[in-house]
Order: sequence, then C-alpha cells, then structure tokens
Amino acid sequence: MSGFGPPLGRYLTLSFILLIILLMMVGFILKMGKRSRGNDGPNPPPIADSGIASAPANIPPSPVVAESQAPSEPPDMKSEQMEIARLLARILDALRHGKQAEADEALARLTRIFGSGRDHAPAGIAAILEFLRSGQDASTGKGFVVGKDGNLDESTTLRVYLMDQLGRLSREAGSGAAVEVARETLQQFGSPDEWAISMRNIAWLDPASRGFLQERVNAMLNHAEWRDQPTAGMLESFDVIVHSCAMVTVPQLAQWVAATDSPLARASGVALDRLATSSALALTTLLNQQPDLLSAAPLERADLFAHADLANADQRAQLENYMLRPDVNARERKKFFSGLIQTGRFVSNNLVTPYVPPETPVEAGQRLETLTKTVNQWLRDPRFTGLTDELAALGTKVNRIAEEMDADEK
Amino acid sequence: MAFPSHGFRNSLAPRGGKFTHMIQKNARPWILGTASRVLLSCILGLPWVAADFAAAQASPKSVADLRAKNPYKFVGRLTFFFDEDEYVGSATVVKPYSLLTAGHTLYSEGSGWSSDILFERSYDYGSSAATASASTAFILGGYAAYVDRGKSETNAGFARDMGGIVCFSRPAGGLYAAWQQGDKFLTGKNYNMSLGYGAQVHSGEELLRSSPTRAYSKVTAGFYENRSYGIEGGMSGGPVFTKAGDKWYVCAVNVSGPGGNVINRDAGVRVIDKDAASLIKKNLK
Repeated sequence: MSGFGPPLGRYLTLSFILLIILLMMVGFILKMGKRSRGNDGPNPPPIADSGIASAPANIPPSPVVAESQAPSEPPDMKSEQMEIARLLARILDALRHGKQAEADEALARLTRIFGSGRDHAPAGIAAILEFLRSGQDASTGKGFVVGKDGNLDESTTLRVYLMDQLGRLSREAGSGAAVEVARETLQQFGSPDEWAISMRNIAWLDPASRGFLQERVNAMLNHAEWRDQPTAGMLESFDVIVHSCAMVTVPQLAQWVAATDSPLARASGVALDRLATSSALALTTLLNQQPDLLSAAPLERADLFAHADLANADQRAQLENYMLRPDVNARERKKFFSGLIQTGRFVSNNLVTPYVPPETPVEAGQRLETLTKTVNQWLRDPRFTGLTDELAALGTKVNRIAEEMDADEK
Repeated sequence: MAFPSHGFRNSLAPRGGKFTHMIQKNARPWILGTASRVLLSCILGLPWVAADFAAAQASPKSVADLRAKNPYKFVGRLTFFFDEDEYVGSATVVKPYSLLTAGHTLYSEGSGWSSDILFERSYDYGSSAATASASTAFILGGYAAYVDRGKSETNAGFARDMGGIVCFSRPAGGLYAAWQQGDKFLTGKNYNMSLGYGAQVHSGEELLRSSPTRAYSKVTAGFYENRSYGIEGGMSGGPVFTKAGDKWYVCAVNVSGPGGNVINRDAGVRVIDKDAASLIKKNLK
C-alpha cells in the first residue's frame, strides 16, 4: 500500500486542497457580485451580444408587463424578463433566416432558463405572454413530439414551444396565465398544434374543465380543414378524448377507425382502445345502445368489449348483452373471447393521461381465475345455450393456460 | 424491395389477406432506396453486390443444434392469429415473464390486436422447451405513430415496430436474455446475428440464423438496415444479438426483409432505443 506518504507530505496536500477551495469560493462570490451589478445597472445582460439588443424595445408593452412590475415581485424579475425577450428575438430572427443551429442553441438556452426553478417562473410567464401577444411566430423545423409527463420534446413553432413552457411554468407558479391564453386560443380555429397544447394546459390547470374540453375536442375533430390534413398535434389531441371521457366523439372515432392506412384511423383506434379501459362501462353501454357503431370494424369492436372487467357486475352485464346481440356473429365473438384471455396496450408518452402501471402476473392469474368462474357460469346459464360450443372452446384455451402455469410452478 | 417480415402465415393457412396488402404498400420506398444505392455504388465503384452474396451467413441457415445453448435458448417461435388466419413470428425472453418481439406481430389495423399468441421456446419440429401464452401485448406508439415527424408512413411504421408480451407463465423458468440499449451495437464493430423461425423459404419449424458482414445504417428513428445479410418472413420479432466481451445481448429485433424468395440482403431491424428500453422497463414483467 503506498498511502499518502509521510505526515509532512499529507499536510502539504491538504493545505493545497484547502487553498484551491478557498480560491474557488472567492471567485464564485466575485462572479455573483458582478452578475448582480449587471442586472441592476443600465448595461444589458450578456445576451446583448446577439446583435439585436434593441429588439425588446420594439415589443409594445402589454397589461401583463404592467402586472409584472407590481411592487411584490422579486427585484431582478424585470431583468430576467428582458433577457428572455432578447433571447426570443434572437431565436425568431435565427429561425426566420434559416440559421437552425443558432436557433437550436438559443432554444436550448431558453429551455434551461425556463427550467431554472420556481422563483424564476413569474419572469418566464411574463416574457412568454408578452411574446405571444405580439403575434410573432416562426416554424422551428421540428415535429410535434410528446415527451415525458406530457411535456413536448419537440415543437413545430416557436409559439407552440412557448405555450408548452407556459403551461409548465404556470403549473409551477400556481398561475392562471396558461389557462387564460389557452381559452383565448381555443376560441378560433387558428392552429391545431396550438389547440393541442392549449387543451393540455387547461386539463393540467383547470380540474373543472372536463365539459369544456369534451366540447372543444369534438369541435376539433369536426373541423374539416384540420381533419383533411391532420397534424401530429391534432392526433396527439385525441388523448384529450380519453382524459375527458368524451363519449360524444365516439361515433366519429368509430367511423374513422374503419378506414385503414389513415393517421386518423390509428389515432381513433388508440383513443377507443384507451377509452375501453379508462371508461369501460360508459363505452360498452354506448356501443350496445348504438349497434351500428363499429359495425364496419367488428374485430376492433370485439377488442373494446374485451377490455371490460368481468369482476365488475355492471360491466359484465354489458358484455353479456353484447354476446347475445343478434348482429354480433361467431367470428366477432371468437375475437372477443380471445380478448378476454389476452389484452393489448399501446405504449406512448401522452399529452394528458398519465402512465398506468400494467397488470402484474399475479393479477393476470386472478383475471384468468375470474374468467374460468364466469365461463362456467355462462355454460350453466340458459341464456347462452346457443353459445355452448364457443364457450367450451374458450374453456379449453383457459385450461391449457392453467396447465402452462402449473408446469411453471413445478 | 423490403416488406415487413412479420408473421408469416402458417403453411396450413390460406394465402392472401391484409398482410399481403401491407407488403405491397411498404415495398415501394425500398425499391427506390435500393436503386439509388446501386447507382451510387456504380459511381463509386463499390462491389457491394458481390460482397452481399459472398457473405457466409447472408442467408438464414438452421442452428437447431444450438437451440439449447446460450443465447439461442431464449428464442422461440411465436404463433398468433389475425382474424381467422394463423401467422408465424419469433420472440425472445427478456424478463422472467416477458418477451420482446416486433410490433406488427401484435397489432394490425383492420384486425386489431392479434389473438391466441403462443410462444414456444426452443421450438423444433413439434417439440419445445416450454410454451407460454400471452396475457398482455404491448406495442410502441400512440396516437401519432403514423405521422412520425413528417416522414413517410412506411419508415414510421418500421421505426415504431417494437412490441412486448407478458405471459401467464415464465417461458424460461425465470431466466432471460440480457439486452442493451443504444445503436452502437449495430453501427460499431460488434458481431451481430439475427435469429428466428423463417417460414418464407424455410418451414418455420426450426431456428435459423443469419449475420451481417458490415455495420448497419440508420434509415430513420429506430429503424436500421443492413444490406450484407437477410432475414425471411417468420423471423420477424426475433432478436438481433450482439456480442460484447464474452456476453450476448439483445440489441434489436428483426422487422423487415427483401420480398419474394430473396433472403440474403436488406435486413431491417428496430433497435432498442430509449423508447423501447422504456417499454421493457416499465411494462414488461
């Protein structure tokens, strides 16, 4: 073992380390002092070297700016707001002139500023509101990509990016700013991607908004111009249907899901599939009340019914009504019975709805046990006499799985 | 040229159907892509055609004798139905109760979720080490999966083509193959091999292996291609193993290959990237 050497050497090493730490602390204090002076003084913050330092002066003041100057705000909020405004002007300029790398770098810097903590949220909110009310915008050259917890990983335009940040900052600061902007945005059919992020912000910040969101998302689906050329933002908005349990949209979704090779078909399929899990009783009741729904996509309809919970008496009653429907043929029932054994789930980041942990193997075993009991009851139930062969085939499959589970335990 | 090598129909099943339609649709961009590469190769004087055909493992060959050894023992045949038609695919045990496969073996527009999914580990002409039925199928992709940042539906389809299955029982008694996230195992110098139950030229009754002589190239998002070897229908969902040190890891799944009886080039795979890793970690058991 070589160790640290003799005691004198160890003493010198420790002294040297302490000296370095001391110097670093002095440097940090000096730097903080300089930054503080810069913020309070007349000189612009470092971002002024962007070459468009005068840009914020061109943006007309808004009521929000006036609010932000209230005496209770932190002393450096105005400077932070100006720094963000300058950065936004720089990004806008870069995007409009095709300087993608410069725009990306500045956007990354802006994202870091917006993510720097709750104390900085008011300045961020004020700067964003000021920019949004200026009416300026530019394409980012990127997609509409939903990331973790409904935050956007990519935004199609600068405004969409800012509305995304506004929602997050408003949630952080307990501000109603994002809801105010969102409600204003949702009054007119301007941009589907802005609608998408607006509906998310309302879902995040206004718990009593379910009825409003149901109405707005339905209006979005029925806006001909948008549905003819659906953007990724519009498709991601289908998550609002699931969040708000918008049964009013089901007839439209059912129509689209039957049209293969269409982005709307995929989005509708995912939304219906998730509604079948999150609002099983409401959806199965509706589908039984309106037998024409999904008559052109019977196998998908079978999947939706199969998501229901047999252990829930109301849901089981809807499944039994479905099994006995004269318009449901053996082919569809076969798919339904298979779906009672094996179900499916789409995995994605969603605008609004949270991640739901999947069934555990123990829960899957319990579900199979419930299915076994139910099938035995159905086989004894005179209402299902006509389905005896189909139910016996289902029972055979369940028995085979039980054997697999037994073999695994041995 | 390429098509989803998904789930080939069991030889007993009738021909035709929705998958045939998908094959036609997905083939178009690849014809153009390959033609462009041929032209480029001619200009640059690269002997790419000769190299492709010269590779020893360019075409899938039987490795049935190895099926009980690591890592082959974690691979199995996957059978499933879309509507009334039965298909053959492949999958790998990656968690005690769970399998990794291609998304298109699990869901199809028009038919919904595939049904009666059965995994037969180390399957060989009617015998297997274990069978396990699916309790839940997971596929990567949500509402906007067919748009994928403005790129074509075809590439987006392959880029999202990853799925997982949780079974009622443990297919390998609780053991499973290791996996690694990241494309460095495809684009670097690691040895790779694709495994699966080819049912296009072969019978779907034995485990096959093919391996590249070059690194893979990225096509879009998580979709990678390799012209130096091929896979055939039925190998879809089977693993691409990589060897790092003396250990084997699953790093991608087979998703596409050349059309017709051409099985020695244009293998398409879906890498285990961040999204796929999240699918495995958060949803598979």
